[in-house]
Amino acid sequence: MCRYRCYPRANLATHRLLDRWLLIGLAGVGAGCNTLDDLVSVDPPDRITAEVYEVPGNAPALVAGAIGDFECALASFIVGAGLTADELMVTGGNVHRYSYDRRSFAASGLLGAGFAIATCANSPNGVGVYRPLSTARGQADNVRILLEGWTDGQVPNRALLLATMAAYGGYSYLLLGESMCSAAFDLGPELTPAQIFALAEARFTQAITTGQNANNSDIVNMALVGRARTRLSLARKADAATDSRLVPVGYVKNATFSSSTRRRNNFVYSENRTDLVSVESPFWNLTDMGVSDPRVKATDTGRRGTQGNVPIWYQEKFTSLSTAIPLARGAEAQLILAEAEVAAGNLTAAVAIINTLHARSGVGLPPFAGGTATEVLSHIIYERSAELWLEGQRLMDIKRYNLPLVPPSGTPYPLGGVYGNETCYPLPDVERNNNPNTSD
Amino acid sequence: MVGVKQSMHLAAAILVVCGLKVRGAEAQAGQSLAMSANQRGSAASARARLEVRDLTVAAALVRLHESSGVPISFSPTMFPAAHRVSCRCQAVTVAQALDSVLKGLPFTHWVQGGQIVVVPLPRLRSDRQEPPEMQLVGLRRLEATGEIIAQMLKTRQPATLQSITQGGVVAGTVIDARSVPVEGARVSIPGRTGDALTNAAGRFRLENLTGATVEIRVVAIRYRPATAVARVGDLNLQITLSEAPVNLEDVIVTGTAGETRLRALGNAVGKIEASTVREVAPVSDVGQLLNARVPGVVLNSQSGAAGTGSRILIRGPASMTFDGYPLIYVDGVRIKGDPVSGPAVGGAGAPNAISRLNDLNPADIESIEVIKGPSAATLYGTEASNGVIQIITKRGRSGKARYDVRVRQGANWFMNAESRLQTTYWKNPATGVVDSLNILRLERERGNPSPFRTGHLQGYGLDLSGGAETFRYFAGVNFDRDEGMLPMNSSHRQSGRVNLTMTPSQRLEVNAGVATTVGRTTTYAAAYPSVVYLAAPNTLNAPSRGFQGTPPEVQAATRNLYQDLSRSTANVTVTHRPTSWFSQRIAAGLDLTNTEDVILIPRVPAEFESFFSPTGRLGSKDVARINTRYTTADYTGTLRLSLTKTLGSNTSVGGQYYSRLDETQGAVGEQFAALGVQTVTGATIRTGTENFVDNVTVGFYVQQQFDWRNRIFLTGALRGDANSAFGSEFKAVKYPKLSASWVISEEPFWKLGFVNQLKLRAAYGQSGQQPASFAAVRTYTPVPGTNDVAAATRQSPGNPNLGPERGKEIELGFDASLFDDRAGINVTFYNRRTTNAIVLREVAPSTGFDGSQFVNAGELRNKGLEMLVTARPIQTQSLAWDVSLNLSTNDNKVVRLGIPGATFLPVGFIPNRLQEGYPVGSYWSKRVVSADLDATSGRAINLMCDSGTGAAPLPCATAPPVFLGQPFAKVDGAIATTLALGRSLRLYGLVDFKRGVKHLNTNPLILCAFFLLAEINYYPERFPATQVAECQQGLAALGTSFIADAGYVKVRELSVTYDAPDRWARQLGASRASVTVGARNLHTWTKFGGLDPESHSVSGWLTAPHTEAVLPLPAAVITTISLSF
Repeated sequence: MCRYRCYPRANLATHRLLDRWLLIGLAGVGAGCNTLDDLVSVDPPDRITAEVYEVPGNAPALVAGAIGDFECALASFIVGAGLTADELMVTGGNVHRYSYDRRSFAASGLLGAGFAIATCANSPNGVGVYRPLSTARGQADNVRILLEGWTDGQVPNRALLLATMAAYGGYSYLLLGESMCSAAFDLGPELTPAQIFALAEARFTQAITTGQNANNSDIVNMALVGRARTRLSLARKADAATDSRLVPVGYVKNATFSSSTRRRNNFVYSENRTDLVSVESPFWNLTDMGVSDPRVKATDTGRRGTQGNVPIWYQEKFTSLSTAIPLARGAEAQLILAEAEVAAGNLTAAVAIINTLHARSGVGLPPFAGGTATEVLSHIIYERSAELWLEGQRLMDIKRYNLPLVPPSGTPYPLGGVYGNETCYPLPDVERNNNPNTSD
Repeated sequence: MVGVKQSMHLAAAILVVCGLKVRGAEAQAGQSLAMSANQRGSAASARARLEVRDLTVAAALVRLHESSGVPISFSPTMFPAAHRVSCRCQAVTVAQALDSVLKGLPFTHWVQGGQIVVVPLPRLRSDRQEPPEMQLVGLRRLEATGEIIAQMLKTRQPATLQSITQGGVVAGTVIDARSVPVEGARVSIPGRTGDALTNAAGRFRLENLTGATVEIRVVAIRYRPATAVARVGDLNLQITLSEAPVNLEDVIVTGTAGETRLRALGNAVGKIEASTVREVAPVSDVGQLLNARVPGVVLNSQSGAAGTGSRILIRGPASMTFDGYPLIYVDGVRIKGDPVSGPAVGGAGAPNAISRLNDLNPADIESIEVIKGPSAATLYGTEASNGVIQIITKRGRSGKARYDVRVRQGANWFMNAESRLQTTYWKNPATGVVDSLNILRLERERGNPSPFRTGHLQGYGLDLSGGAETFRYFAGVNFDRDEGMLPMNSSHRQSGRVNLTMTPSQRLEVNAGVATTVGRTTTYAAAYPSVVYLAAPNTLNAPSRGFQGTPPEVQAATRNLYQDLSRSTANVTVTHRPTSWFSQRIAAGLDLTNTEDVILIPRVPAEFESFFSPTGRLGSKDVARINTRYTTADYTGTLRLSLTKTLGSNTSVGGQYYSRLDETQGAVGEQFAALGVQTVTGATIRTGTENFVDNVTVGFYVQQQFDWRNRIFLTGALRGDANSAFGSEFKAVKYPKLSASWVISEEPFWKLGFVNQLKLRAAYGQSGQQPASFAAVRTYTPVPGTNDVAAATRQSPGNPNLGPERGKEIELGFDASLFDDRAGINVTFYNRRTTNAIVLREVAPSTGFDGSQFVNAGELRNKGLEMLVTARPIQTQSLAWDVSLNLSTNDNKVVRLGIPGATFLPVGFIPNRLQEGYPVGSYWSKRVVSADLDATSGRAINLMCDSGTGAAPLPCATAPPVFLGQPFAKVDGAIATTLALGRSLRLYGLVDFKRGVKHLNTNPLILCAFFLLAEINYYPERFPATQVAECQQGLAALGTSFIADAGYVKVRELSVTYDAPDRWARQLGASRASVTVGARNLHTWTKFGGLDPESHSVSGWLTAPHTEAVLPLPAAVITTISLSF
């Protein structure tokens, strides 16, 4: 068995003299060992050295681990971005989430820059965005590069695994682009959201190409939705529509969760059910054209947060620690398409898409009559807020459509201070201080 | 040939005279002494021939007597039992042979009445022509002793003091200046035969006296000789000994290189005589024993909860990354001494501060030695840069079995809780009325019980010791059960120890010990005190009754946190002296610590369900079992040579093997199926974890010491270590050491009469601090991947070049006794630099690693002055006053971070930094220097903040964070005094203090900046506008409103001790009985606005000490009854 301090014998040369000196001493006490290394070698604990783990035989485990990292990061992202947007609010007590809710961030410090410091499974001490997404991105890219260096003979289904890593990597880039004011990758320079989206698009494109080679529609559709969402953020609605049209309406790609460990929990559910965050008022008793919208289920518990001034509402969309969260689905693609249709002047097509979604089983909302382009777009925005509620889309929608902030900037924050107007997270000091390619 | 056996006979004979009995030996003592006793005259110049190898001093003197025929008087018990001598002395005089035999020992010899007497020389200046008082005492006594021996040997009868003495009697007690009985003191009457040793109660008895009065002389190790005139027939004479403030012959256990006399040490070593401290001070754990008694050793209390302990810091923070805890050894074996463990719920301020050091029973401890820094700790190697604490436990003394019984009863409480608690405020929006709330007062007025209680303290102990010269034993058992100030907080501990000393031959000594401790500490969730500290007037009519969220009884009923302990330590030390010039020692031991931390949150009963979320109501259980195993193997060989008549050499080589293995298993169950189910098995969601960390150090050293005339000592050493945490590109580390000491007061030119003794010393040395285990390698850690399949995630980028931090320290100082030993002073200046300091460099998240990386980059410096002054201004028969002052300063600074582009690193979670040019872990935040108050809105406006550069203030929006203070005290010290009134009463007090330390006062911050429940929120006009501004800025500008001066002066210990009259003790069948009534923490002077400037949270080594949810140190009154049988 390889022990922890197993390293090439040749490396001992520089210290051979001391080694020998020590051994002479040790011989005097009857240690009876062959080398000093033997004496100080210990078994590694639950850690696994990279050189042992990063081998072709572990490719499936590497991929599963990278996806696990992303899923954990996604759930944290949804909570953090949901607090910054108007989907969620802090109930009180735990100050680590205030900055998200108050829309006021700092480049360092756990309370102001929790987005950069907290990890994905750090509840109740924080909610991470930049760190967990960067980790997920790094994992996906690292595994993708490893796979590219291996052969099909070494790794069964290598193309599929490659496509998978490219797709998940693309989503990590995408979410960073939607939430960060700027970001860096692999100690590279500080990039704008547009530059980040470009990287995401490239990953999705690779995923689509490789996935098609592997003949795997699941990954291809996931990447198509991701690329459409990316292109929408880049204001390339026509390109987004092209991708969206290729995705079946019923397609769903979920992020999976379980109750096995905190890391695997549906973080949205656990944050809400442990009373740390509550559904924010815009999503209480939501109606669409006078009818209660079944896609946004929230109930008033009748209780208030620890300071007695924030009502606790529970979301009912995710009903357990193991409830999956949709990452990419056909309905989202349809709404992207609808928006593109409005931009192209095809209002009828856009309204038809909305009504198709309304008519789905389990939704059953009355048809939308349509109207002016502004009215249709406005309704699409509503549709997105309801259809994609608590799926990590609302923050980008607020920015993309320049929606009013709720509550407005300057409003007293019920837990102290006032609401700010920041809707992206600054490049944190932890990156700026330790990345030589970012400016001070 | 007269051999070892005969020397034993002589020893036995003299021991008989000294009042000790060695059965069967008395009648067989050789006659050669009796014969030689008739030979008087030129004893010193008589010719002698002495060829001995590896004999005790006593045996060698017998040989010398036999070969020369010169009578030699001495007491064998005076000599160090371990000391062996060799001599190939041919054609020499007796005096020359004696010089050889006594070389290196603090003894001299004199001719008196035709015989030679050998006497100790603890305070003799070599240039004195007349023997000092003490020598005269010994001379006369020993002359008389010789006569008794002669008489005894002539009659060949077993001799006892009683058999040869009749007549008048003087009896009494020998005590020290604090009226503590002195055991083992030698009491004699000059010019007359017969002396006595005092017993455990300090009692002695002299018989066969004539005349109306006699002059009594008393000699004891560590004390100045004393004289008293007694009336014959006085059975209650009291003789007070003054402790010598500097004892150069004290033996210091330097651990690796064997025992060393204080005179040879180039370093300062702090020493606590535990038994002496416990005679008067109300201490019930090792932390309290250490606190404020050794300059430079700073204890930072964390919580007033029962069972919690303190962090120990020696000479300031030596690392920018790792905790500063010293290594702990017990009887030569390394043990786990971590100060922070235990279950915790609640994040900041969680009371997880159970100290492993307090697993030791303080009553088992004989003494504690503190080796403070790299200059002294070099031979301890790569983990010793924070210093070393050596704990020496009690050993049996030869003699009849002795029993000591202790009973401790007391109480502790949150003193003046109602007035110390911050009143909270709230403005009712409906009525516009501002309500204020003192929740404790309100609860009292409501007739509800206080959330705090008076906790009962109790302890019971029994020690047994005794044995013969070849086999001695000490056994002790102890039971402690202390309750804290919170209803669920308590600490139970049962411990036992057996120490055996075996001397199968003069060449071999074996010391073995086993100890075990079991116990349970029940602690509390952070929310319990928080619901009180952060009381909310807006919920007065809610179910929480004004408590923050939850009433305390709900917290108590729904949180059960405890740690179970099972600990065993075993040690064996074998000392072998095969020849006179070589000795070797091997020590080995194990320390096994098994703890089980349990956080049980039972399923909430129906009446409390409304306080919890649906998930929270279902409960959970978290069990963490941590098994830690320390293994020690330590070999030392020492070669002693006399290079010339005046130059000696002492060479030591040795090797050590240390390993530490931590095994952790955890099980978590969430959501109990039903009320009453409290096992992980009974939970709906169950998870398990396992981990282990193994670390091994292997080291080897060589040390060379030269001494010149027993006055100048030069020591050099080199140690090399390998450690399993070093990176693969870093193989081993070497640490050098050099020290010198000079007992200048023994030089012939020394003329300063008021300076009795003066030793100058200097030392330079290095030691290390190993990196964290597995910090060197790039690792993954297993986690479940998507769909819960087995996978791993990247954990650490590692650093293959990682090596240990290197502490380099120089210290200079002196030890002096002054004014006829009435005062003593020890002064040390130290300057320590930590190079290759390991910095926990954050990894840029863009690398894809979720964590940090250790790098050898920085440098930090600690320097300061340590001073210990002891004095005895008054000493009369009826009054003795002792006073001591210890003071230490520490000036620490981050010299260099070593990270390109970074001038500081944030540590902790709020305002602490490692910033170049500033103290370690210093506080940084904006500081508002001027503001105006808008009377309408109540908000501070026109905020201007400190620019940090000395320039004009800047608008706070653009002002930078500025330095606001440091978390480690600049000055730390204590004044202790003992006043002994008459025979039976001792008054004792200790006041300690800290200066130049800041804490983050968290509770007011939360109340004003987050919960809006502070007076300043509703009556801002009552406060300075700058304070209003900092409250409203909250975390953005903590300023001096919340980074507060935590300096203090505290009345730490007070006590009154009463030694019962002997007749009372005898009625109990005891030789001594005493009662001590003591108190702790009775008063604090401080500017700190929080509950206690000492108590603070423990969430991180350099994290801002802050006060959320912590308990103040309790006031306590403790009564201790001690009986000796």
